[in-house]
Amino acid sequence: MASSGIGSLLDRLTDRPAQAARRGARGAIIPKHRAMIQLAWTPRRAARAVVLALAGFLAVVAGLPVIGRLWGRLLGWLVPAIGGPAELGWHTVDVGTVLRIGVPYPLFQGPWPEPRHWVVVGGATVLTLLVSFLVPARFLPARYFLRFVAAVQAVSLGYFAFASPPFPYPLPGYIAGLLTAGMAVLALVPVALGFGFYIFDHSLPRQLALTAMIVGHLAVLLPLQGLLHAYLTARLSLLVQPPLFFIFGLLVEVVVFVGLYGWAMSWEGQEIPEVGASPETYR
Amino acid sequence: MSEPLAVALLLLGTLGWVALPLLPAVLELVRPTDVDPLVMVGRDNADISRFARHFREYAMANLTRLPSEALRGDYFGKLADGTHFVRVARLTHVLERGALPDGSHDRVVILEHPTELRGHERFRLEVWAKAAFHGGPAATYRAVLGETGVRLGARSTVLRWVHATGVLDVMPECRLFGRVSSEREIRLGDGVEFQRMGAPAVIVGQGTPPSALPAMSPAASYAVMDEPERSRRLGDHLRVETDWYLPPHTLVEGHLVVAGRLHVSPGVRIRGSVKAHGPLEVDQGAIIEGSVVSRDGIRLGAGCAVGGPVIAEGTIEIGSGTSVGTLVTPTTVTGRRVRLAPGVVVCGHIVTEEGGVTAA
Amino acid sequence: MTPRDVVALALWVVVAILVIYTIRHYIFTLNRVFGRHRQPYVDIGVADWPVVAVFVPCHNEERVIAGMLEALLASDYPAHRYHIVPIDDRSTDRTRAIIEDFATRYPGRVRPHLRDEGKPGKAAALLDATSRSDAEIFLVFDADYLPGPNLLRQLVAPFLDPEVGATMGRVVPHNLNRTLLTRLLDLERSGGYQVDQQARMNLDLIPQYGGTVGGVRRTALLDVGNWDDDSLAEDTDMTYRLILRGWRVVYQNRSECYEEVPETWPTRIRQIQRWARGHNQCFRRYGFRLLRFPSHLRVGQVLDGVLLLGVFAVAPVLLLGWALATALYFMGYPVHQGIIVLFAVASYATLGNFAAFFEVATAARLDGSRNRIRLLPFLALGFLVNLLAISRATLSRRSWLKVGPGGPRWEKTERYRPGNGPRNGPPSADAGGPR
Repeated sequence: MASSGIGSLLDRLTDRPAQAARRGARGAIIPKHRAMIQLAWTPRRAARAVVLALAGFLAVVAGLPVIGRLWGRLLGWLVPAIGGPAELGWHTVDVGTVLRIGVPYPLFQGPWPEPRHWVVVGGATVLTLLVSFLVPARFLPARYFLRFVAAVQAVSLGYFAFASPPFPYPLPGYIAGLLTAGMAVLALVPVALGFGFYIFDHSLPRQLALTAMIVGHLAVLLPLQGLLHAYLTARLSLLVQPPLFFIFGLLVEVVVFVGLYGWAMSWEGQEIPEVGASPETYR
Repeated sequence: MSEPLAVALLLLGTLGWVALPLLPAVLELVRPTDVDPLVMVGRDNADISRFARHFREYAMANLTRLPSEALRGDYFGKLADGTHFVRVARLTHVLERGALPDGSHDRVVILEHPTELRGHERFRLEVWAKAAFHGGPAATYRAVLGETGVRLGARSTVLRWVHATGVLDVMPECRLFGRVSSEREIRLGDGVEFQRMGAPAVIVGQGTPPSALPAMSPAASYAVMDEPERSRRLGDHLRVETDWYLPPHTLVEGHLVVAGRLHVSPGVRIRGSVKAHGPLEVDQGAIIEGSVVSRDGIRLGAGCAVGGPVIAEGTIEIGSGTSVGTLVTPTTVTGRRVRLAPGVVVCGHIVTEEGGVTAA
Repeated sequence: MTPRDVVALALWVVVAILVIYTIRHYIFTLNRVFGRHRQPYVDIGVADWPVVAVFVPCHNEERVIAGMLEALLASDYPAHRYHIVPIDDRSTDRTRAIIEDFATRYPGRVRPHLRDEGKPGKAAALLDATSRSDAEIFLVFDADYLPGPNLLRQLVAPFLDPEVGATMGRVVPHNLNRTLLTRLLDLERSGGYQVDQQARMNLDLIPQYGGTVGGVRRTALLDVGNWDDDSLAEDTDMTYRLILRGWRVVYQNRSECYEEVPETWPTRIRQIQRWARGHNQCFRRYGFRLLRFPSHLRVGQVLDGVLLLGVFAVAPVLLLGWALATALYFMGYPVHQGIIVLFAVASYATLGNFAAFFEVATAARLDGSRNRIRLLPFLALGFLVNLLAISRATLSRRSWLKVGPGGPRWEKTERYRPGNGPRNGPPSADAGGPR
């Protein structure tokens, strides 16, 4: 029998029969079949998505100078620890006349490949290719991925075999570009979520939580990633910069975004019920 | 800190940080929590009396396990799953609100004998009437299963379903949410709101369900349809690329599809199905042997007869004295909204997305 | 114009193509979630049902055919209005014996069509069976499918509309607990049907008849020239011929049917390469005819039709994008701050196209089975394999040239269900509520 709480709920709903008609004997909402489920596009939903996206964008942009300074401190501590020059470079981005963002970057130099670099990087490329053949068929994507990495690295080897200095993208400028693009990505996160997340039925705290998680994660990741790129290029020469750029550049940020987004999309919402595994039966 | 150690920490820290957002994915892969196939629905909305049948099976299975005193007199008890019920064999006043501490309206109600209620009751759980049931006005039911005839008093509300083995008589201005079905006939008063109904015959006010479509008049009494300029034959239908108007007393052999609006004049007979992408209007006395379909709305005038389903993505209005389907070949009326005039007879199902109403 | 400018221009063209597909994904997804939902025929429960023949083309299906036939025999479609036609095409295993056993036990209801000669392949088998059937509607199921009791009625209901030439239901994997691949395919299928197909239906574009869990009207089939036994993808081919002629294809999201998805990557690669070749063949056959904008089709329908035809050609375009971005990178373009632009372009042109993830996540969320969405990042692995497999198929001769002397053949997807006894599929449940 319905508990008194549910009983009074049903009593109240009896005055609103259209709502009561969608409730089961124990008060639970009877879900629609998944083929029919939709969300209502209401002005409130639209406004919330737009406001959140816009406010998030502005908040992140406003916070970029602070993020830049924090990156400066982090890199200022980490770069000497891994044997780099203590001084950092600063790339300045002006957002109109209202905001000046300083993007710090390590001043590692990427050497033109020397014979020892060819041996190490070439050997690693061949090894990657060989390992890809040992990967069992059930891990086929890993096999393909390794070959893809090897292929991009091989193209780089081919380029440097024929090219002569200077390389169009000196290492410091490349890192500055990566981190500046990263800052743009940070600002665009709320905008992307405006299209793909804020329109759903998650509660406001959950919407804010995902935004904070992605922005927070990427804000930490980007300087670490930039530093790692710089260190590897400084040690292994410009030979490795192309695969780092193509495969381990902003694609890593995309993977992080999708990972957290996928998790958040699995969170409970306020309108779409979990119905897959619990069909209604009589009582 | 030595440089190699710092580099190793940087490398591992970065990799670990990148891997962190992938943790939910990895956990779902290695320890799946959602790996069952989507549960398939074995039956669908077309089975309108499904809930009633399931309730009967559920209640019967539970009642067989009750003590013998439950089968005598009025009995308040619990079904095996804990649901409270009352079996009424003598005094229907036990159903009145306040007669018991918890109010019998909180229970499944099983009525053993013919029952007539005063009205204004609220039944939170199902009512199972094993004999004739006459509800009073302005009552609210969650669901009603009648093993013979059921009459719902004026301005009553049914929240989930009502099913009668015999005739289901619905008095004016009732609101019927969910499924409404009868194994014989549903009779609807004025101003009844509904969502989905099914019976061998659904009659608004007075009417007689037909056993067959009206016989065809002699061929000579019909005009031959002129095929419009912008039309072509596709398989078994004629496709007209413009709005189209069928003059009175035209005979159309085969199916007709119109890319615009379609107006069917009085006395037309279509010996197939008809579809319009725009609004479809059928005037008084026209007969369509097959389906009537519109991407927009459909208005069937008075005294028409349709043999097949009436399918619209907009509103369907059916005029007085019009019949859809026959007792031998029941069919379906399905649209976003449905409006039925007095004297309409539908043999089969009426299914609406946003609701239907009977209205003069 | 320098060579660098030419490469840059080509890359921007590639990006433009990807942007078009991105917008398409977003439109479909937003429409599915918020747009007006169209399933006008799904509530037809009673009618004067037409006579139906259910074709089940088989080639070495001993593991699954019995389950399929049992499921079809349990249908709630009026028994005197349908019969089942298992079409055995040169099976070398026990398929034929199982079919004949069913025919003996269910005379008149199971009417086998046994082929030992003629062209091999599904389209040829269907062509053959069609010519020997007098049914009004032909439903087609692959042998590994497990239709529920109400499915035939749901798939036939749209044919009560005289304009409908073909219908298509939703395919739901039931062996998703097997491998990472099956789980990824479950997500992909969800996106493809729950969002993509239903949005096309909502927007009155071109839902695709998928060759299984669907059907064709006899008169429409004959009107467009019957099955084409030279076609590598008889389903897509049929969709376009019907649409170009003026018939409608209807997708019914509610009409669900279990299928077995590939459990191993090689099987999946063969499957998707087959689809790619067939699709590209249709691109060659119908792409330009569509672009003549037939008067009975709206601009939106033409564009959707062309984009659908081109969907398998996007993979090599994406690969080209990578190659161009690489070339441009080494050419040093553009020097001043251009690295940032290049970052964005290269990332977008690879996996940065978030729209596909958005579509899949939305579909799974609508399905109400949420935890599986957590696997979303692994979809990138599936995309990588698809990309290379489809590109290889697309660049093959069979995709673009006329079918060679060998013609189409049976390209069978491996089956995994154990045994050939009664159906081993997942349990059905009585679910739902109103709508």
